[in-house]
Amino acid sequence: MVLVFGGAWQGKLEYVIQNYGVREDEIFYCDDSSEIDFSKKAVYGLDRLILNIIRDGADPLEYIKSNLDRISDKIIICTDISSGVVPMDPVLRQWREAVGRCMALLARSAERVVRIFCGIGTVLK
Amino acid sequence: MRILVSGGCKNGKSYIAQRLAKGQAKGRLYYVATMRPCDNEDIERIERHRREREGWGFDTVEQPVDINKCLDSCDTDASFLLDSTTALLANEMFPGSDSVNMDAPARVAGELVSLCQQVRDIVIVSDYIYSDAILYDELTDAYRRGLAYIDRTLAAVCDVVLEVAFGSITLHKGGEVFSALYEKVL
Repeated sequence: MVLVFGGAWQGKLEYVIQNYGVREDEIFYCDDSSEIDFSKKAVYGLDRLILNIIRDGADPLEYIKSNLDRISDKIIICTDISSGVVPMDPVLRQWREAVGRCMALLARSAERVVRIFCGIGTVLK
Repeated sequence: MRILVSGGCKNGKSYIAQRLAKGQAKGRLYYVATMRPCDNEDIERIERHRREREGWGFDTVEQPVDINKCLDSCDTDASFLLDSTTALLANEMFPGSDSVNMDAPARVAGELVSLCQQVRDIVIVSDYIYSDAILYDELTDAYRRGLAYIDRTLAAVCDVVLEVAFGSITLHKGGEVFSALYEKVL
């Protein structure tokens, strides 16, 4: 697994397309989904998937844990939302913490972790 | 050299950028100020920054919009410090209380690249505002997306890209060319 993270609009997806040769039809866009399509090579917007799972009343960390084997060969792209003010909205507070916990778990399991800053990738692991 | 400096608010970006701009200067040294004061708080902030720059040798040029016009009154064979893209984009994108220019990010990015190509040395300061857990309204997110587009465009043409975290530097691009300047000023 490769975990690619960075702030919003930093060029994460472009980095993955350029560096891992991923085609458009191999990318799963989380958008409004609460489940990953495991047939795809890359998962884009894990932060959105986590928010959708929370809104469904389920536990995103449990979901990731129970599917670790199935994502072990994926490239996971997630926006880092960990460095702002604690949100007033309790759902967004839960979201912020869940994204942090899920990313920590994914980073431990990943062979490679890349942070994107202004379009530039730095391999952290 | 062209240097992009970004990072969080009150992390010491301006101070490091000033030292780098001064370190690059062989002749004239310009400070291109982009902030357009809206209230007393802004006026005080500008005054504080101005006092902090005293004695550094900067000539201050106020250029809140149309950034390349700053060259009308400057010698291009000089060292420039532009602080910041954040204020510049806000001025260009939101010119009045109820008007929005959605094409501003692409235009400003192009103008900044052109500015970089015309001057000898430049340090540009931006702000990293992309890692909070807030679902922004469409307009705020368009501004954020636009600023990130400017950052990425500049990062591609700059020799050096730095991230400042509470006075400490992470070098994202240009380690070899940066080390000589770094030893000189920091």
